[in-house]
Parts: sequence; structure tokens; C-alpha cells
Amino acid sequence: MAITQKKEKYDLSNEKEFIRFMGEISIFSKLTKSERMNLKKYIYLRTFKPGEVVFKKGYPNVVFYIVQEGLLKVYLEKDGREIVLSKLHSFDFFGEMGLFLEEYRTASIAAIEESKLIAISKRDLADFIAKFPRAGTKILYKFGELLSRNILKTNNRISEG
Amino acid sequence: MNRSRVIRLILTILSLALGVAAILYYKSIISYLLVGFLVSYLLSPIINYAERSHISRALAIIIVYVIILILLAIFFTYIIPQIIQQLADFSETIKSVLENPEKLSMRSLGIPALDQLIDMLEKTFPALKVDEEVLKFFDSGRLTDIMNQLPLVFKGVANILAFLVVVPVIVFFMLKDERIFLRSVINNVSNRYFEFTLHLLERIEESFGKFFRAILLETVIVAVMSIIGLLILGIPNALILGIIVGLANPIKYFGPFIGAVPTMLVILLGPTPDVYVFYSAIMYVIVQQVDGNILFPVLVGKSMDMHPMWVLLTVIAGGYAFGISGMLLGVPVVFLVKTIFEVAQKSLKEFEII
Repeated sequence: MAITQKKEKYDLSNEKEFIRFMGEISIFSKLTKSERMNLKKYIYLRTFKPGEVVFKKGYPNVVFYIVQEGLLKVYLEKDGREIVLSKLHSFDFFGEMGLFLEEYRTASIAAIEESKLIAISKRDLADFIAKFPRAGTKILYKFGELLSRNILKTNNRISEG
Repeated sequence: MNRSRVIRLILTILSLALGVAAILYYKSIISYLLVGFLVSYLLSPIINYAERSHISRALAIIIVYVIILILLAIFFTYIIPQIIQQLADFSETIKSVLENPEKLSMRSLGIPALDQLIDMLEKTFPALKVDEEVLKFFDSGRLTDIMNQLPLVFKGVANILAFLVVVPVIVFFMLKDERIFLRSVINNVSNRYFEFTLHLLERIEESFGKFFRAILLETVIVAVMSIIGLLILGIPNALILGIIVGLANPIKYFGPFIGAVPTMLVILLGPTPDVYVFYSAIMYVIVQQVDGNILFPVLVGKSMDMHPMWVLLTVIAGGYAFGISGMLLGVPVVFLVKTIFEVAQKSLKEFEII
């Protein structure tokens, strides 16, 4: 998931930069500029301090996050020990499974460095898709592509043994 | 460390004082705000629906306002005069009865079987004076109280005018900037409670919003069915009587009876033959069956998860505390509080806050 890209700072309150940033996020990359602009009304901007927990394993799935900047870790706690599964950088997103499953968070996320996140609630995304079905279809196609790739990757890993 | 605590304490006290000052300053319009909130809450699904069809919120609200204005115009030109007439007729009838209570005597109905029943009851239980009890019930001044309160509705024309100007303005902005208001609140929530707040709001809206809108729709349908039934039976004052039945209907268990009382009085005291009491009773039973077996399960159904015993006790307690309005609003208010508590408790646990 961790696709390292050239680090760049975006000021999301600026319209042009917001549109540009959203274009860099794979699931929104197919949206037109105006569609990306419409998304602005549906997001929350949150800042997390180093060490601050975004959510823990077992919490309800409510929000889907995109990393604007910063560094976060995906981890599990086992017998009081912390197992770091992966790290998240700018343009990564997480919590997408929660958009499709009525279940609980499967891992915990905490900020390592000060991180700026874009939060989109499950319900707001559903509203956005209902209001802009054309843009919604593109987003869902991208999600389908992403999930299929993950399955393919897992299959390959299993067959290679 | 100590200093920051002192500063925090001072800030807390200051913001509390500010809050109290704000309440005092705005206290005269709090009722406007509440009504505005309620109305925008009811209209919000319509506006959201329009927004999905790419009609801007402002335009959608204006369209809704125009429709409401047209409906009001129709209402005022055709229906209000009728209602006022019917109300006057109705209170006239009641007053005439109160002046001459003999009319209420059950014997005056001239139904031989009923007379025999009363005779038999009075013979078997000499202590029980069925006829007099009924008279006493109506004589205890309760009805006069109710009738005296009716003009109160029409009092304070200035207040109503202010209401009619201010509330639509509040509703307009609440509806138009609904998302902005909500977002500004949620944006100020700390990270720890951010997901929790979103979750809580969604859950409360889910359970209470559905319940509230369902009850409202049920009320309207029951009122319309009753009006149609009354019109078929040719009972005078059908409109106002049907509306009363609809409004009383959400009162669980007692509502249908309370709602039917005015109809029965109109029939017994008016020119309609008394036998129509039975016809209208049958009609109301049919309406109640449709409501109980089709409307309630389909519309309200699972959205109200409250034990029947609690519903009954709540209605009775509400009646004791605040009269008819207590009976009417008791269940929704208790249900709202219960929902908030349950949902909050569950969410607090899920997010490991408690």
C-alpha cells in the first residue's frame, strides 16, 4: 500500500491545490476537476500529533482517511507488544474496507510524525455517490480495481508458495 | 503546569458565563429556534432529495416555501373559515349542553336497551348511579376549561406574526447551511471523539429520525382516512373531527378513544341521529385496524423499540404531569432520551471511552 512518491506540501484550502492533490489519490484520479471540487464539501481535515491514535482495532467503521502529509503506522497489539504491519505516507489511504463492510476496524493506526489527514465519513461518501452517480461510479470502479489487484497479489503469493 | 491549569479553569468559567449570557440574551427567541429546528428537521429530507437531483438547496427551499404558501392560501381561503365555523358550532353545542346538562343524560338517547341496562345496573348496585356519574363527569368543569382554552390559540396575533416572519428565515438558513453548521460543530471535536461523534449522530438520526417521520406520516394518513369515513357517514364537522382523531392517534392505547370522543359528542348533541354513534364507532374501529395492522407495522414498526408496558406507563405519567400534550409528547420524548442513552452507551463502549 505504501507507494512512496515525491513529497510535496499541499495547501488544501486553496482550490487548485485541492484539485491537484485529489488527482494524486488513485481512487479519485479518474474524476474531473469539477467532480473533485464537489468532493470538498464532503471532507473533514484533521491533524494528528506524533503518537496520537487515529483508531484502534475493534472500533466501528465510520470514516475513511487519506494521508495528506506525515507518517503513520498500522499496528496490532499482541500480549502488550506492538507489531507494526506497515507504514502510511502521503497519498496513501486507509479504512477503505470499512466502506464496504459493516464490521469493526481490523488494525490500529497511530501517527508517528505530525500528520494531516483527510477524513470522509462512510455516510458522506454514500451521499456523494448518490448525488454524483457518474463520479461515484468512477470511484467505485477504482475501488474494485484496487481490491482485485490485492486478491491477485495474494493469489500469486500463495501459488509461489 | 499549575499555571496552565489556572488558565484553563478561568477559560472554563468564562465560557460558562458566556453561555449563560447567550441564553439570557436569546431567551425570547428560543422557542423560534426550536420550532425552526423542528421544521427544518422535517423538511430536510425533501431538500436533500432535491439536491441529489442537482437542484441547489436555496432554490429547493424557495420551491418548498412557494408550495407551502400556495397550500396556506388554499387553507386560509377555503378551509380555515370552515374550521372556524365548525369550531364555533362545536363549542356552541358543548356550551348549550353545559348550560343544560339534562341533555347528556344517557336516558335521553332513547335507546330502550340502554335504559334497561342502566335500570338493571342501578337495581343490582344501588350505590352506583350510572347516569349521574356520567353527568358528574361532564359537569366537573373540565369541558368548560377546555373550551375556554380554545381562544388562547388565536390570541397573541402579534406574536404569531413575528413567528411567521422569523421562523421561515431561521428555517431557510438552517436548511441551506445544514451541512456547514454540522461540519463546524464536528470540526471542533477533538480527534479522540471525532469518529465517536460522527457515529453517534448517525445512529441517533437513524433510529429517531425514522421513528419521528413515520409517526408523522401515520398521523396524516389516519386523519385522512377518518375524514373520508366521516364524510361518507355524512357527519357534520368532518374536517376538524378527523384532524382531532389523527392528532390523538400517536397517543398509544388511549389516543383512538380520546380522538373519538369529540365525534361522539357532535353526533349525540347535534342533529345527526344518535344511532350514528355506532356507525362511526365501527368506522373508527376499521380505521384503527388499518392503522394497527398495516400502517403501524409498516411505517413505525421496528423503529420503535420500546416495551408496551413502558409505553403505557409513559402515556399515563405524561397525562398526569402535562395533560393531553404530555400524553402526546411523552412517548416520543422518552423514546428520544432512551435512544440517545442507549446509542451513546454503546458507542462510548465501542470507542473505549468508558
